[in-house]
Amino acid sequence: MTMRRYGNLRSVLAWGGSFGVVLLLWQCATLVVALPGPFAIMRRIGTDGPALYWNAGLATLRCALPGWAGATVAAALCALPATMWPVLASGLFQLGVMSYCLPSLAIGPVLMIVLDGDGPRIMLAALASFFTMLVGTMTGLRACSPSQTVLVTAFGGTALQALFRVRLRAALPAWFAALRISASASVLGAMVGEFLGAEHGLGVLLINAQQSLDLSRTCAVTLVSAAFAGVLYAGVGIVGYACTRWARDMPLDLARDSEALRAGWTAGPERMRVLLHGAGRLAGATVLALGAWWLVLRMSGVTPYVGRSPYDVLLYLTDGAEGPSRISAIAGELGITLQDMAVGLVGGIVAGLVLAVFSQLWPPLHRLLAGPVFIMQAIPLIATTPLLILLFGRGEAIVVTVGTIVTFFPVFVTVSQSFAQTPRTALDLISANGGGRVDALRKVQVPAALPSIFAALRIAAPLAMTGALIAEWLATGRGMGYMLLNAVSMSDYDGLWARVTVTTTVSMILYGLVGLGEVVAMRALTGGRAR
Amino acid sequence: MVRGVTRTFTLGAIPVVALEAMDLDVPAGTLVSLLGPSGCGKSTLLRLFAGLDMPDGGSILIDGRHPADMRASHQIGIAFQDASLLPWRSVRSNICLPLELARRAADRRQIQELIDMVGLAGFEDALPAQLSGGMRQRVAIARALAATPAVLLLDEPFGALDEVVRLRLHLELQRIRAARPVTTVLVTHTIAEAVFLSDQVVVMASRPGRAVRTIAIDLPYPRTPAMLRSARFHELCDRCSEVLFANVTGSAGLRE
Repeated sequence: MTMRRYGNLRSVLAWGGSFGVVLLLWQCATLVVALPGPFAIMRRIGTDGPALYWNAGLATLRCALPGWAGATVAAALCALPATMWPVLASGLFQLGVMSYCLPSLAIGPVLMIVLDGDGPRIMLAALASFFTMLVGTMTGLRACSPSQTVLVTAFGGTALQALFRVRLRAALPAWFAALRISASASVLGAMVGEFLGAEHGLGVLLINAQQSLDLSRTCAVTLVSAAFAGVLYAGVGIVGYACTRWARDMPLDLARDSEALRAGWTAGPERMRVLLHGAGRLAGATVLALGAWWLVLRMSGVTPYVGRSPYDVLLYLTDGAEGPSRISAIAGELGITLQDMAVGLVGGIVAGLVLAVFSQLWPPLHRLLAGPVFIMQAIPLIATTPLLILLFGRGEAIVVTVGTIVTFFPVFVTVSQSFAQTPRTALDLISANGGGRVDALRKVQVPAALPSIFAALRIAAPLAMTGALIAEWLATGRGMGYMLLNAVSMSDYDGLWARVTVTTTVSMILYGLVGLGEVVAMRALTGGRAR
Repeated sequence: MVRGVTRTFTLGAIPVVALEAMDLDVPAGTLVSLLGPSGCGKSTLLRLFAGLDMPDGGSILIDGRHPADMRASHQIGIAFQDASLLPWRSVRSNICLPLELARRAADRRQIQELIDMVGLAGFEDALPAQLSGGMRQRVAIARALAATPAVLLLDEPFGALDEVVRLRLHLELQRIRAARPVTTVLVTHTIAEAVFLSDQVVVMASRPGRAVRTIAIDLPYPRTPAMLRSARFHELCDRCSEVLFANVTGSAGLRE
């Protein structure tokens, strides 16, 4: 997520090289697993007719783009008041966290009940991009230094002039970075919506190809989806580069900044106050969520038979005769999902950390990996789940694989960044005392990267949850993901709403726990001082 | 003109008196330095001058007007220790900022004169990231002068620079003020800087922040680097340091 320059010839060559490496890796992979190579896929697109893919892509964009734009506007509308009145900031941020933790597969069926037409898919695209946009916009609006705005005031400028001439302008780099990342997120949101049922779109094509075990078409659709997301990503990147040339050498790290936003509002010297603050926020978020739930149902005019209220869910779970058995069933499903997810998360962390360490010890590896990893950031990874199912079969392994892939990339990127940002003097200190590269890693760089691992994990955990749910639904046929969709087909609406509530709550708790881990790691590292 | 100005902050539950019953006169067209240790309220006083903060008691008048008035009519020029340039604006565009805020058309020739005056000819279109620290500071000073302010407020603008660059900027500031004698308040914690540049040095002390003594500097103009080695210069520096160290809280040992 660091700003990159890609204006000159050398970096164009580097980009070409990265593409070459990706293609080469892919061609090599065909030797190991039964995966069609790039040429086979090109041939397949030719036989199917490119129009099939092109139209599906346009159908997906019809949902993704309005959702993306809506999320951008909504994020701006939330971030501006949050900047002007910091009191509001923590509540609005909590709202963003909630939207990020709603697993799209869980909320999807509910949205399909409440909205019609393209509504559910647009909403999913918006939900997928809202939080990133909120963090990006808030970070951006806090990017200018206090002295820069004081300056405008001292020269007799008004608050409005300070906002337009300094604050909004300084916000652009972070805003564009968020816009770029959320572009592919919105495509993913729309595609998950299409998985759940739609007439047209890449998601529909992908699910159909996967269910008819058509490997080469599954590959082709995955590739086309990646291309559509990649074009959006690159387009925003180029416009952003043109608008923020002045900032190209400034580091920008949204993952760490979002934690700074969070910690900045909770950190206090007294532990009790922090706890109370946390409890207050939790209570506020719960009330907000339940209120939104109730309000949306009332406004959409869905029949109460389908649209169940929080109270119905409570009754469903506390029913005298069947309540306990329902709770234990949901707990069992949740246990399976969490177990698979945990293995995936740990796998992703280990893989990301090990590769980051090795590429630090052996720089050519880093140069080799940097390009492909950067390209993979543009791709909605969860959308590759159907392809992974065809490659890795329908066992538990698939859930673990999805979790690993979703976790690996953010961990590798943030840890590598943290390694790169090690202060020169710290490394000099190690070598002046006769230490080598391994000592530098062990004593300085890996401990310093600990908060980055948590930051990456915080980004990855909700995504891993969504990935696990999709894999369970499409492949293993057990766990929360399967039962969610099963409840829809059985018209067990109480069961559906109860599971959506539980899944979202657990996802938010995970997010909170990882965030807590991050704060603890940060405190341990800095001795409680601010960064 | 400052009369009985008091400003108190609260840190948690503890009130901290940043300024207590402060009196100060800055004659028009002169340069007055506020010299003192960290925390003596000199930056607070400067913020009060700029109308960025309000005193709890007493009054501040500049040419008989309130600082907030002066600020709203774009009569104040200010520069900080960090240049605080806007990174997306070129040197020229940064210097034009106060004019834009005043909704005044920038006179191209006048801006060019300012750029030449601070010795940045040829760098008009450079971005701040491409400049050295000293060059950025010169842009900040040119920017402070762009809207022909009635008062120039400098908050340790040379603090982060090395000795050589600092002396060069001192001479430049003197040259600029000779061409355009603007009333100036300079906040500093460097004795030699205060003596070299000022008509008067106000030595301040902390806890509570207050002015201890005003020392008139009678070195003739223009002041030259050779003067830094003169007996009179050292005599004035010694008087400043004597007052300064005599009032460092709880430091009887320093006085000797």
